[in-house]
Amino acid sequence: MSNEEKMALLEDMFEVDKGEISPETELESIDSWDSMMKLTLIVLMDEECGKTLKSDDIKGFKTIQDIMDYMD
Amino acid sequence: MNVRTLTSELLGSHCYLLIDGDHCTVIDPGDKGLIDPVITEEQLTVDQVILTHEHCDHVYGLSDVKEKYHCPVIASEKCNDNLKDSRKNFSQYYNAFLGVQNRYDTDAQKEIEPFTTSADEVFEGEKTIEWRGHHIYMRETPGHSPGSICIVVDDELLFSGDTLMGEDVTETNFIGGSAEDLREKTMPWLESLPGCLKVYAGHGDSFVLRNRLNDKEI
Repeated sequence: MSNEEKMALLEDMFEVDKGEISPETELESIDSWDSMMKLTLIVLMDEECGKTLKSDDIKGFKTIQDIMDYMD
Repeated sequence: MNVRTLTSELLGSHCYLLIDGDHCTVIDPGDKGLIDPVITEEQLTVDQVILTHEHCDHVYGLSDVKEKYHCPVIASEKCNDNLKDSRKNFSQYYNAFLGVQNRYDTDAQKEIEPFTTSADEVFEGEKTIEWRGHHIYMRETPGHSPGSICIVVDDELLFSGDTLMGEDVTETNFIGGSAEDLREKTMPWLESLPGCLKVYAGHGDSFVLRNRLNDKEI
């Protein structure tokens, strides 16, 4: 999956416009980054990447880039 | 008829026993072994199970109940479809969700393995049954999940599952949830019901429908 495709998935997940988030964006700065969004990320990783995301993995994510790296 | 509330270790979800004489109807067997002590102690016959929706914290004990009591299970068709998929019944993601959530009672956290299960009698729209002289009306109420229903018993009691909660706003961000369905399809029906109904929700305390609809955001 290309970086553009990953970003498009994350923009869709966060329900933000294109360009509104970048790899450097800190997750804690995103208002919607709550437990329900984390559940949505768990589902997205499973469905789009075939990866089982664990809560400890999520706790280690600080930026959008961290999530994108995990999607590889 | 008496209503007995049993609380699961899975997010504190409620299982309800409607007890009439020595028979009972089970609503949402959310944990394994949850109902057995009461059934044994009071020598009850389990006549049927009704599911308010497909999420694992409300159905984790279903397979055990079916195996032990050989009773029919009633649910909406969409609920039944989703019970058969561990992703859609949420059990696939439950343990990970426990690690990131902070809304629920931390004492009510028990890890589970992904599972599937099923109902026996399914319906679309609405369904009415008569049980030991009691009128039980079931209606699809999408919003929290596609398979959600509410159950009205004898025009006095409303078992709302996670469609309507006493303290919390109805969660529509779970898998398959829809705020639009809640607003457009479910709320008009809830608002049409007699306000004096006593509501038994899937989590938290019971309440009077009128008070809940008037007081807080749904």
